Amino acid sequence: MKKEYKVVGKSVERTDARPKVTGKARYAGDLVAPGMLHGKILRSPVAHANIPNIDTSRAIALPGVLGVITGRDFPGIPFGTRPDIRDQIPMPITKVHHFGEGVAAVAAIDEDTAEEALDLIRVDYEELPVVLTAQDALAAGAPLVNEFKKSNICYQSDFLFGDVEKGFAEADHIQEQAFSSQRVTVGFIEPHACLAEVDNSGRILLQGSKQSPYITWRHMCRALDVPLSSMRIINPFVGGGFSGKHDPMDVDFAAVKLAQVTGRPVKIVLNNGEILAAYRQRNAMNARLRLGVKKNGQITALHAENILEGGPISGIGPFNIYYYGAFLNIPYKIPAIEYHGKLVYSNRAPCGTVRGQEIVLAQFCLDSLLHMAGEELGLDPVEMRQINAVTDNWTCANGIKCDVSGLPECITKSAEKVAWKESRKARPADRGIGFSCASHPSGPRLGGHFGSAVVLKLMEDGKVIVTHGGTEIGQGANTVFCQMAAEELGLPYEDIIQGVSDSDTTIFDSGMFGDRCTYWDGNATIAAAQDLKKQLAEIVAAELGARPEDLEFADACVFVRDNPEKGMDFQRAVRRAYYEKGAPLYGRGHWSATDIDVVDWKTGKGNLAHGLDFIATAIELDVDRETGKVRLLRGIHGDDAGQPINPAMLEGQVNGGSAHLTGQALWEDSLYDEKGRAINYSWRDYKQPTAMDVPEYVVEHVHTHDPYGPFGAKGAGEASSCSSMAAIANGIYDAVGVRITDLPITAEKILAALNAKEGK
Amino acid sequence: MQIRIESNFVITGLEGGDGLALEEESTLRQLLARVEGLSGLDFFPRGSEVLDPDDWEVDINNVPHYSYERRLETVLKDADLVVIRVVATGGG
Repeated sequence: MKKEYKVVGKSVERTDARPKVTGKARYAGDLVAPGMLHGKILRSPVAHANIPNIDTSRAIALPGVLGVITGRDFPGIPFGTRPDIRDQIPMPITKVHHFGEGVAAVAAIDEDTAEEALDLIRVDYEELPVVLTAQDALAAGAPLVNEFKKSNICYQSDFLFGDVEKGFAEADHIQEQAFSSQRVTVGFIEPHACLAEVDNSGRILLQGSKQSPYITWRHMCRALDVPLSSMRIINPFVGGGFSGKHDPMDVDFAAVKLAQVTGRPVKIVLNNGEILAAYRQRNAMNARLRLGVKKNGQITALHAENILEGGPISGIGPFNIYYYGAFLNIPYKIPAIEYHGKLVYSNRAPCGTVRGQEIVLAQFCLDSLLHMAGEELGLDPVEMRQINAVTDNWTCANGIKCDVSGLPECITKSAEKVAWKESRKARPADRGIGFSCASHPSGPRLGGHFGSAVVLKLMEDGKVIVTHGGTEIGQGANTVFCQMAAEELGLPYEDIIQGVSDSDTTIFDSGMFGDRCTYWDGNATIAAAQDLKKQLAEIVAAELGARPEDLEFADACVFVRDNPEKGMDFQRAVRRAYYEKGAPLYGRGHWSATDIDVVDWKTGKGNLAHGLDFIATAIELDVDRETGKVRLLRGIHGDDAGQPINPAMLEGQVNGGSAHLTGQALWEDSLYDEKGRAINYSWRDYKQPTAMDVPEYVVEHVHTHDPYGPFGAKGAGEASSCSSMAAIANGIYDAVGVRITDLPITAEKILAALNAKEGK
Repeated sequence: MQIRIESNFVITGLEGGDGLALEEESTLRQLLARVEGLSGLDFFPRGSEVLDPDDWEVDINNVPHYSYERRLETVLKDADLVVIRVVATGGG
């Protein structure tokens, strides 16, 4: 029987809603400290150059300037996600690698003085030839981009799952296509910002806008050559991350170093131009996929080659290469896959990733190709996806086990809601519907620190403070953890208070990424609540004349199971603990999916994740044949995120992911000139979608129950970003019969394709 | 003697999976030095004498190398299995 929840499954008010909408939320840029200085960063005007000399003498002599630093002020220890590919230092020492790279930083009594001082720093640039594309990087004799590596191939993976030769031999039709994609920025609202302080003992305090503060913390301590205990990191409110705030940035390093040099707190707040020009973007892709299918549309094999151009550092690039290949195994049943992926260096801005990681790019290719194959075979795109959809208890070619899949129902719901069948009988001219599916894991075990832990502190007034190492970056993590704690403790949601993320007091977490937080930290929250109940039950059991294990918690009461008359209110129980026993009540919980496999970087094989969430997206659009302009009309998402914890927030995540990637599909493009200088680094020139551009969205929840998820929930928020681009590409084809495989699908490209098709 | 080597990542020079031939009485440290020479890996950055557990997990015959009394100086035997795992910090 389905359990009735009192808090879980309800669209309660977000814990951060009121401070945010009233402007009371304090982000990193709002922070102040006594004696605080303001920092600014001097940026390279060239994309690739040796820097034999930086003269800061005039800047430091400027009245009001208290500190100037360069890369030479750091120990020169490289950091990175894996020890075999550490290729990044806090600020450059011998050469600059991309336009806008920070080469020096200043701390002064105010921002104007700091800006003025930047103008007084003289940097000698000896320009080098630039590498801008994957083709450039792999060309014979190409200049080397990263001084720590002897090749422009930063990382590569070759995976083989199943018998690919046999799969293609069994195919009735083989569809092959090249795809490419552009550089896009991450797109968060709040710029990088931080406040750094150093206490009398030399201990560092960094308060910054970080998505995964403990990743930042580990990397920074390594690069600064200090033990982890010598640095404390606190996360204030964060205005969006979308995978762009995992790593430490030069802004973080510069603030810390300037605080060390000056002995004063230093705050640095970047502007959006700096971020658009020089900070994390999504890799540009060049891919070629070949798909074998039976006459009925059943996939028999897939061959994929993919080169990602990722800027001058590896960053999380190995994860991107890995994700692209390993997760070709979902959301469709593909018995055999061969994958070759490369990440190459370039002199464009460093890449991390953007929402959905590079599953987004893989799925754009795969689902476009599936549609193309269906067209060739005369198959209905909805039926073709149903035939191939991953189902319950499916084991993928690389070993991923799908416990529960609502994908078939998601496809049905989205097709019905968008009126697919009806549209085949009659529809306005130049109007089309595109489908795409996607799946995203709820947090793989990438290795290293991957457990999650939560602490619940019970206050004497009966309220509970939740602390965890996950990060609230706007997605609603704090709210769902409070809901889960309330549900498990039998308390009103309002009695659960979100604590502060502080490395001195908070249990560490591996990070907020990969749809993992709700799933992993959520399970840890439940475990912490159970631990708290156990402690409280042991204290009051005797008074209630029962065994501790026979007590239940509900409706803010503790009572004997099956005898609700025999109980006491929760607050009295808490007072028994504090007043009579002096017992500190902290519930501690931890969770890790230890029964799944740690990522095998070499093979891509293994059962990589629980909680695969699924989505089937249908986007209705029309195309203006005169201009090539695409108008998005409706987006329907059949979405399986297991048990929705907060349906309104879940819809926000699903719709947000789709809207976000609408930009990459149609408009966004981080442009560079032939010397690698960024061109369109302002919000005026870089076109992200606004509310005016995105369609009406509808989310059709498909309720499943994940056996490992908290209350049956799965992760959410990234699958829709993975499904939306192919749905748009397929919709454009359905509308006007042209297939664009090079993102973004601009009006100009559509118009050119239409003209070519019509022989103009 | 022949030492079998397994890893969770591609080690340049050992893609064939045949392991490494070493002189008798070679130690784990000597094996890692050979792997460094083949692959360009740096197991002991900045003059470190030990493996950083935040970076590497190295087992001999499925037992963590630090469980052996002589740790990196453990003398290997023919057909021993050395597993080298890279530890990642981060996510996307």
